[in-house]
Amino acid sequence: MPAARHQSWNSESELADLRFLHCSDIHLGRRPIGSPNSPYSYTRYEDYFDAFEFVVDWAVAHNIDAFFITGDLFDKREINPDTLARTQNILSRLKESEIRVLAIEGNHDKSFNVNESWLRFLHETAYLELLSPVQGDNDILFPYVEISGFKVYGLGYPGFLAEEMISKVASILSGRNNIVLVHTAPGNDSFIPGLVTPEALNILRSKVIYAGGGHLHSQLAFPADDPFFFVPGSLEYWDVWENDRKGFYVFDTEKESADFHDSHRRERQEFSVQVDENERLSDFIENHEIHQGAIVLVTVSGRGDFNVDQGSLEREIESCGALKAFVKVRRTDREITLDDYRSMSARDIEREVIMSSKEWKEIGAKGEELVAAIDKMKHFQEEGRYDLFKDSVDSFLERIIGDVP
Amino acid sequence: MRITSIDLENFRSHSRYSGTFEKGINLILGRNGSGKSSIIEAIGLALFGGGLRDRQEDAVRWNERRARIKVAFLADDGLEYVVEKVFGNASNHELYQGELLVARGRENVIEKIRTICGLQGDISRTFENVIVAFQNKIADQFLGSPAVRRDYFNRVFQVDLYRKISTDFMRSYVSDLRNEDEFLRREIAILDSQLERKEEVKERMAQLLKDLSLTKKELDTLRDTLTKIRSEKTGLEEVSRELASRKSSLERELVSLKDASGNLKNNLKQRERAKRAKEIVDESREAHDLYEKLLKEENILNTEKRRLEGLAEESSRIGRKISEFEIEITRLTESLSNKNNRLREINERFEAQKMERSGLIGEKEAAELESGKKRMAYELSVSKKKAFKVIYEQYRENERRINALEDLWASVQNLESVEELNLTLQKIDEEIEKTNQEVRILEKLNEAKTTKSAQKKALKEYEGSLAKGICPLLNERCRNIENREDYGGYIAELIKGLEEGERELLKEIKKVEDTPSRLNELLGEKTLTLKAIEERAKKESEKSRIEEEKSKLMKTHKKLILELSSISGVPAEVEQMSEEIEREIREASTELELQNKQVSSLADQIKRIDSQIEELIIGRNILDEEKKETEKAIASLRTETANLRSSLEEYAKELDKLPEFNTRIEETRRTMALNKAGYENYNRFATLAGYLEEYASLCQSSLEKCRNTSLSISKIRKEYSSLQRAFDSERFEQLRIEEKAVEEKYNLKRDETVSIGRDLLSAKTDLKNLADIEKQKKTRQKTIEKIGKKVKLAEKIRENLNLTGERITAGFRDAIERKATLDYMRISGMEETIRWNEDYEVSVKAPEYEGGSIRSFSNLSGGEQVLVSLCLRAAMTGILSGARFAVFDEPTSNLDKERKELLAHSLRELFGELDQSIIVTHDDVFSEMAQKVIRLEPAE
Repeated sequence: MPAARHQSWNSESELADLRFLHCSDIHLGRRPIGSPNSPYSYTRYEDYFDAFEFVVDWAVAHNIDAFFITGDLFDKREINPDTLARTQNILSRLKESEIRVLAIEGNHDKSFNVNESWLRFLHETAYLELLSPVQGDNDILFPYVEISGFKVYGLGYPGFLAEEMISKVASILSGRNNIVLVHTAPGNDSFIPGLVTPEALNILRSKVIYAGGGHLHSQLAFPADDPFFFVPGSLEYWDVWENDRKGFYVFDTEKESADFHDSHRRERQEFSVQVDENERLSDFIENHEIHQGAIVLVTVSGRGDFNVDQGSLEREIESCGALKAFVKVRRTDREITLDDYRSMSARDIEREVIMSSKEWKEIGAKGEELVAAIDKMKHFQEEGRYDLFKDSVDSFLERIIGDVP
Repeated sequence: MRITSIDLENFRSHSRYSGTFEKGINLILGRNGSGKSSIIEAIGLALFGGGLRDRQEDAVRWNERRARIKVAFLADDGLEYVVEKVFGNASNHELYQGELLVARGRENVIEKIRTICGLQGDISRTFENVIVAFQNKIADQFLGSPAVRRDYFNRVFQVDLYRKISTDFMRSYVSDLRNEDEFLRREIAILDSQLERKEEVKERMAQLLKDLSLTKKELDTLRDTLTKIRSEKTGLEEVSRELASRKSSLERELVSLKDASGNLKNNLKQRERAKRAKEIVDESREAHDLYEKLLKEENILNTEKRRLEGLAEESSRIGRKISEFEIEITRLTESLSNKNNRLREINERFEAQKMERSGLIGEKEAAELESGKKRMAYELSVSKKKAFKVIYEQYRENERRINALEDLWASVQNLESVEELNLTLQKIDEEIEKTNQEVRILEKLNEAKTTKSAQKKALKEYEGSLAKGICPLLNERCRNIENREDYGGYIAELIKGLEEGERELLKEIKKVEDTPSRLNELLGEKTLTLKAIEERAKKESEKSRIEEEKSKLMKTHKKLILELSSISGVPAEVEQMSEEIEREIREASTELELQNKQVSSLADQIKRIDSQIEELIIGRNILDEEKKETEKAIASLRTETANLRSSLEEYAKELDKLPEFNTRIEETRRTMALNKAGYENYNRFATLAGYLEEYASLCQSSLEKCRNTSLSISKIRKEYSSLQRAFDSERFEQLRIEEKAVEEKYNLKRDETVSIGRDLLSAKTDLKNLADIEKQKKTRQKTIEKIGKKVKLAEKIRENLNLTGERITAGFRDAIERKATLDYMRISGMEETIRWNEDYEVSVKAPEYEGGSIRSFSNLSGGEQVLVSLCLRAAMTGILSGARFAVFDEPTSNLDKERKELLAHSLRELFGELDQSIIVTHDDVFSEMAQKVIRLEPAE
């Protein structure tokens, strides 16, 4: 837990202690594979509402001042009447307890047309307050909501422009009594679109008392040693193979401490089994205790030609009381196939060539630094910026050479 | 990414166009000139900044001033972006994410799109070379000379960029490093020349240190001498100061003595005056006391006189007030009398109105009664009419039904009888039988004709071979045929016979060729006749029913007429009865209206009288109020008047005392006048006489002060004389001269010391600078060493860049080759592999088990070339374009039908990995395979 920091007072308004709850990626209305009338689909549809209700009831019981939702309240931008009605019902408990609800859009529930947004509808009917940037006469504006002297800004889901938006909002923040909500997280956006680099997030460090993220379904606090940016993870499993921590944060501005709480979700059992050529997995049920109503995930790994009847095993597990079973087979001795190679992009090929080149290694250049240096060379050559090219190459060579004794 | 929609305004041939696109394969279908390729150009220009066939200004539609392109696309982050470009006589280029403007200006927009879509390098080039394959160029890229191919694909793969870096910026960098090296070496030479002075500076510094030490010693000696002279001089100065101090004290004491003697004289004078004043005061004391007593008495008498005079004024005021009150009382009494008269009048009018009202109410009640009666009569008429209407409608309905039955009866009578119809049917059957026979004849004739034609054809075919003795069946010589003479003539005769037969048959056929159509007509007639017979039978059975129903209706009809007559009360025609009822209603309504009007008129009159009565009541109440107030006012005034009169009497009693008071005042004043002089004297000298003792005391103290001051003066004089004897002025002057001389020497020596110190400092600074120069030299030497390393590394980097470029190209080629091969095998169904070497030469290799032969690209058929090219292009787009989006413009040019269909079936496999592909074509062979088809018509 970080040491308490000195709290600065805003001369314009009086600060009061604020305790808020932060959750994200709730995905109400989600239905998994299969017929909507199947028990599994119906049960999982309910599970998302149960998870959300648990958090809301927790907030009411613990007298929270405010409730923040950082994106993906709904699983889709179009929702059915049942989803809407039940959401209103749950949110009304917060309203009755006079807990302010602030929300932003995520990539799942962001509407391309503001008149068709269900989040906007909930805002207009006073179930929550929706925050998002708006277009001003000359630039993008960031409206805020003030709670107990703290200004809360919402950036929504900016996609590939997330770093630019974060930089823009950071430039208008003054003091440190600010809270920024944005549907993103630190990571590599070529892996998951919409993530941002750690450097881009660090711009906010000195300007906010708390930054709330989302988009990733696993809990994360950045940076690990002294965090200011928090991703609570989803409340329920969006993909049943997700196995990291999930829940919600409760933050106290006086203590400047963020406490993580696990969410209440469907039980999930995961098993890993090694098999050989003759294995049939016939005694799997005897050797493993299956819990009633759980989602059971089994990864079967092996070498050689072994056969696993996935469907039969899944049915067997479900007959023991599991809500649903998923069996995945992984062959550990298989080489990378042509299909795998064919899926490499030009960028991947380029990186592969550069990073595996012994000539570069001989001169002491390698890894991501080398790739980045070559990228810059290409960029500046194309732009015709010799001055920047020279500085970049010079720094690169300095790092290779080090200090001359 | 994928495009979701496009809007064009005045772009090329499109004045206004809007279209949407789907995921997967989209087809833009249309003839030449319909504007298909323009849509692709628009996408390229707006999103990628390239792809135009000519200048941007030429893309504006003829006779228009500006063009507008708007393209919406979905990026990998799941968000929809919109690009809008305007050009012509106004220009704009903007990128929106939802409602947020994220970039403005061509460069900014293109840069953002590059980031959003994950594209590298020059994206306009990527669009033109990788994403789009223009018509007739799909295969052309793989033809041409090696140099042309290398040049093209090196650009596509951006390999030339690596080479360019090596030969351009990196080379400049190396050159800069070498220049810097040379520059540094020159600097080092300059620094070395500066360092040569170092020893000289050191020697100078040592000498200066010696000089400084010497000068300091001399300075110390002079300082000691100066100190001695000054201490002696200080002693003499103190004596001098003491003398001055004593002198000034003496002067002060003399001034003080002078003041003290002056004060003494004044005090003595004042004492004498005070003595004289006391004597006068003692003499006037008695007259003063008497005068004061008389003064007090006079004041008391004056006060009482003033009070009585005030009472006299008050009395006259009260008299005036009483007169006013009496006048007011008279006026109010008159007013009261008037009010009483008016009240009487109002009461009389009130009674009269009440009587009139009762009369009107009686009239109104009678009129209302009459009105009630009229209303009942009217309602009775209305109900009669309703009852009449109901019966009347029944009557009309009945009448209509009777008429319908009569019409039906008439129609039944006019129908043909059943016997007649049966006869007609019989005739038709006979005719049909006859026609059937003719049809059979026609069929036989046609058969015969066909047989003859076939025989004729066969004979003609075999004519040639038979004439040569070759059997047409076995296709070889036949002895039977060879033995026959003039086979040809025989065959010709047979043919001729067949032809004659054919002509005969044709004549016969002509006679009966229209029997099939006639047969159809007869069958139709028969069907109609059968229907008519059926209908007729039905109608017959209906006849009796009609008669029965008609009789019932007639009875009902009569009954209804009687009812109508009883309701109307007039036995006449139905129409007349209806008119009579209407007339009754009108009369009843008129009477009722008149009666109602009368009632309402009486009600109005009553209302008017009521309002008048109300006004009278209000007026009466007001008058009563006013009357009460007037009586109250009169009473109050009378009470006031009485009070005032009693006050007046009291004041008169007091005023009788006034003359007495005047007399007493006169006497007092006379006595006062006699004692006034003594009173004034007393007052004038009393104060001065009081100060006599004080002045005596002041005289005494002044005298003492004078004595003390004199004593002090004597003492000071003695002290001054003794100090004067102790001071030696000559010695003092001598010391002053010596001090000045030594001081001058000291200052000179000191200046000399400072100067040496400055020189020393300058030498130290020089030495320090030289040390810095040495450091700089070392730094530069290190830098030169580093530069040397950098140059080596940079040269190596140049080599590596060239190698890397080539390897990357090889990697791209390899990946593209593999993917293209897989697709080609799948589409063509053949196990041939595509080969693409470092000269970008394409060839196709057969499998080993078929010999492994290699065919070059130019040796492939046109269709094969296009197929191989498309496979390669699809692979290129999938691998090189991060956008996963491709456009093909007229890919089916030069393909035969079979290849086109093969290509169409293979589309999904070729472009399956892409998010979206757009195919522009005039060929609708792809329609079935496309997720979306956009059809364009040529512009007008």
